[in-house]
Amino acid sequence: MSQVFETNPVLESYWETDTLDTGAIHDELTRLWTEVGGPRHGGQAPGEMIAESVPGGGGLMRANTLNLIAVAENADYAELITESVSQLRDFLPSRTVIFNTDGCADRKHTWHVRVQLSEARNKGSDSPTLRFETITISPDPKVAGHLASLVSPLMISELPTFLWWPSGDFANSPVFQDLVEIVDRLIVDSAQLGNDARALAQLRTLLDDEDDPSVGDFTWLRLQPWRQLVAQFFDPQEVQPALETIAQVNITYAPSREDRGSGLAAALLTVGWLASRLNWEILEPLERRKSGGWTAPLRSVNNGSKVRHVQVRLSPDQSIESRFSLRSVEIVSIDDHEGVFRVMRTDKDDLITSSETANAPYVSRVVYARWLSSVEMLGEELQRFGPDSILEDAIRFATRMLP
Amino acid sequence: MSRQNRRSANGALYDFATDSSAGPTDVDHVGHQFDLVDRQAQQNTNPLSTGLRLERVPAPCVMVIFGVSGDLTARKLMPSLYDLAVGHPLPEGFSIVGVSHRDWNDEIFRAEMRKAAEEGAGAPVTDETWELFAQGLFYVKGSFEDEATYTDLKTRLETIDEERRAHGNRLFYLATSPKFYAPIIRHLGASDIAHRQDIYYNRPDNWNRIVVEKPFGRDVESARALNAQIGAVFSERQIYRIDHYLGKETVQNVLAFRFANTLFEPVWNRQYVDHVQITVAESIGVEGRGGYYEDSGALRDMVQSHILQLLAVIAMEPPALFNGNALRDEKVKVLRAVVPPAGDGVAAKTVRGQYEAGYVGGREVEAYRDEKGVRPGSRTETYVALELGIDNWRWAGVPFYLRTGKRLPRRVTEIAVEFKQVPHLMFQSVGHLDLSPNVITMRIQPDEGIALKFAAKVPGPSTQLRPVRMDFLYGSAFGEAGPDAYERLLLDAMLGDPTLFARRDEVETAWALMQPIMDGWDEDGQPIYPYESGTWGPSRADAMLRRESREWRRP
Repeated sequence: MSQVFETNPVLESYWETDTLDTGAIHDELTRLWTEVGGPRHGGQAPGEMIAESVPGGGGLMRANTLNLIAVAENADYAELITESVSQLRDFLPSRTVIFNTDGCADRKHTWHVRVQLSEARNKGSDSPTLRFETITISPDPKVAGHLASLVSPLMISELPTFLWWPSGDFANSPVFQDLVEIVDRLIVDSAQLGNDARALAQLRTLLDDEDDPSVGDFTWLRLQPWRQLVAQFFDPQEVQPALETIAQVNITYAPSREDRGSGLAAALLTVGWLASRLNWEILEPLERRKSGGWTAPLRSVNNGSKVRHVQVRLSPDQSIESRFSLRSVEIVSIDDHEGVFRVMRTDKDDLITSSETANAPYVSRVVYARWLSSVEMLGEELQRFGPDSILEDAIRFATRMLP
Repeated sequence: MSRQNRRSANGALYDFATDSSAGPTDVDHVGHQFDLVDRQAQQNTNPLSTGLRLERVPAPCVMVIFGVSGDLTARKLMPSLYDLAVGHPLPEGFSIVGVSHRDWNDEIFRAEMRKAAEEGAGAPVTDETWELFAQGLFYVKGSFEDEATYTDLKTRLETIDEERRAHGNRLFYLATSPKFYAPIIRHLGASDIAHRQDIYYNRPDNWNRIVVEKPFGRDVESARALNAQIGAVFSERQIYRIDHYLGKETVQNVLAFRFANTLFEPVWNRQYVDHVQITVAESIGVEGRGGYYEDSGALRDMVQSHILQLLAVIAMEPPALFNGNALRDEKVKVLRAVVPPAGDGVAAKTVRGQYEAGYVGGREVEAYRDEKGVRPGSRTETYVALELGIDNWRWAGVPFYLRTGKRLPRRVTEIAVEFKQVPHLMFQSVGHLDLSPNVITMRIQPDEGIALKFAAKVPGPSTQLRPVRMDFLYGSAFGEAGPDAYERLLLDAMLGDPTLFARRDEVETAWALMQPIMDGWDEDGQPIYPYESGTWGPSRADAMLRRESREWRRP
């Protein structure tokens, strides 16, 4: 059953200043909550500890969940972040701080601050109205590398803090280096790293430092149905020996287009996932193919048994269906456990799987796995805490394959 | 209340222990040590499945739905199965065989099921997705009591095994009227379609399981008889008695609230709790199911199943593990400690009512006796209120008030734990104080959440106290609801995880608790108190609590 959400700012304040006082932001938030709790907005009376209304009136405490920091390096990302946060449904951050680091040359004052209380209402349902805070700050460019000292006192205590960095250029950013020190989890999109396979190594550096936050990746999230479906081929015990006789892995992916998003990271993570799960080793690093894409020879060694070579081929695919991610994955097993296992995107909504082995007939099915929007992926990522060791292993293996 | 109260007015002793006539393999429902075997069986040896959100994916299987042309399949089963299939928790080769007396064939069956999926499924139904899903839908026409039906079914299943790699795995689902349960189960065994498998059976192929819908009998004797009939063909480990309440996220959240927080458990006992109220209120009437309801009534329909499940999760001791038998052992333990009213206590501690005409939500509604399928002089209760005690160290002396009814002012399910007043009130010198006790309320539906009522000082120079409510709304923290309860439970049954299903001894114990009340009502001819539709039940129920200086909440 479809749900129609309507999100609106309920109250907001905006000001410009040359010296930013975080206490002033707190005071403004308190004032807005007091106002929104008043009779005009469905609460009981001003001054009460009221933060959320329910149908029929009456004030309720909010359920605080998490803090989110998001950094926009240009106007496009600022719009993406603002829209995504305002449309979140599954897991709303109680407080979001958005830094817009795209310098505005013509501004009179060095700091611009907007504080908003917004509400999301599910029309056609009597479920509660969700209210949340958004603080948008255009900082003084001179202190861009010291934003952690500003944002730390703005976080709601006791709650996990997430950093969402939607653009690909994070490793060399002083803002990133500063903020990553104070957060519990980092959310990136490695598809935004573009067509340069070596850029994935930027993510690897974060994993090597124990003090750094755990990592979530939209690209990994897009791969979730792919991994699920590939894994399901091998759930039946009689098919599992085919994992040990894999000879080829052929992946087609979206090459980078004007918007920079590329499926190469997805292809590399898929190989990294298969290889790290199946204990494969690298024979030679990735090599560019003349026809485009990459290839690499790997080998599998299982329980000291026969060494087998696994040829990996990554090929660009220009079709629209592969957007930012994969078009197809094909796994070919040989010898005693011969089989071909395929997953392919047919359109923006569906994946089709097929498998055929020597002992079982051809079986195919369509699985509903539509493209996820940034909002949906952010909502998913915000529900995940702690490290994802499978992703980390996949990144480590993928980056070891880099030339 | 003493243990002797368990003896009914007619002297029958309600034995809560498992029927001793059950075969030796039925001891599998005691002790969670068997779950160690279970967990090993459920462990997926596929290295690629590690870390996936759906780490446990069921093996390919065929689900055989008896009564597939009925309302339950269209409203619940098919939408849930379609969502599971296209949402990819179900494996390739998953198939459904519908069995019914309707004059359908595969094509008609598929067309009917498509309508059901389009109506109720969350995922969109497109030609392509439906076509591939429908390839796994098959129909067998026949009477449930005719041997030929099972011959046809067996042939069909063998073909599907070959063509769709189902590996002999079968999940039988009884979506029929309970009167067909016995013949279906008997024929499944006799025709060699279903096989009894003992508790150590942990192979991923050739497993047989059966899902049984409530009602699981209509009294102790019929429940035992039904369990014996099912047990003649299936071992307890193969039987999944479905109570969709337990699949609800918020019921599971009660467990998380109690056992994942240290804050509440120290006060969760007779020292601090004054009483507990469990309310399951419906604003609807019998909705055309008068014929069915006439044979059940509120006690059988709601109290014996849903409400006792809620009581069990709110009152049980902490299980050692969150798994099949550990959780169900604790539920059975606490149910066995419940002391139902019996003999003279039935009149004093129970109230049954029946709705009359009135207004609900501004709409005029008719009386129960005027509903279609209801006998004019019906004595079937549409409302029950009762007081139970729990004879154990934690709850001795704490009354549990349960109530359920149709045509009440609003649909709400909640558990309220009311705490005792503070032992000494230091603020008495400042005059009038409106100090009500602390209450923790767990709302199951709607607006799922947890609320705490406590006293706070009103700002100002004088000392005035007033109650305030701190409210955690599940939806305000986690947004949209999780999967439908049926989706969760169907997947669990295919995975062989019985945690959220009722066990034989649990069902029989629940019936044993209700039996003295039913006997008391039958023998004493206790009146049925009428109540106006749109009110909170008969005034007699208010009087029952008023005698003990308490009152029902207005949820």
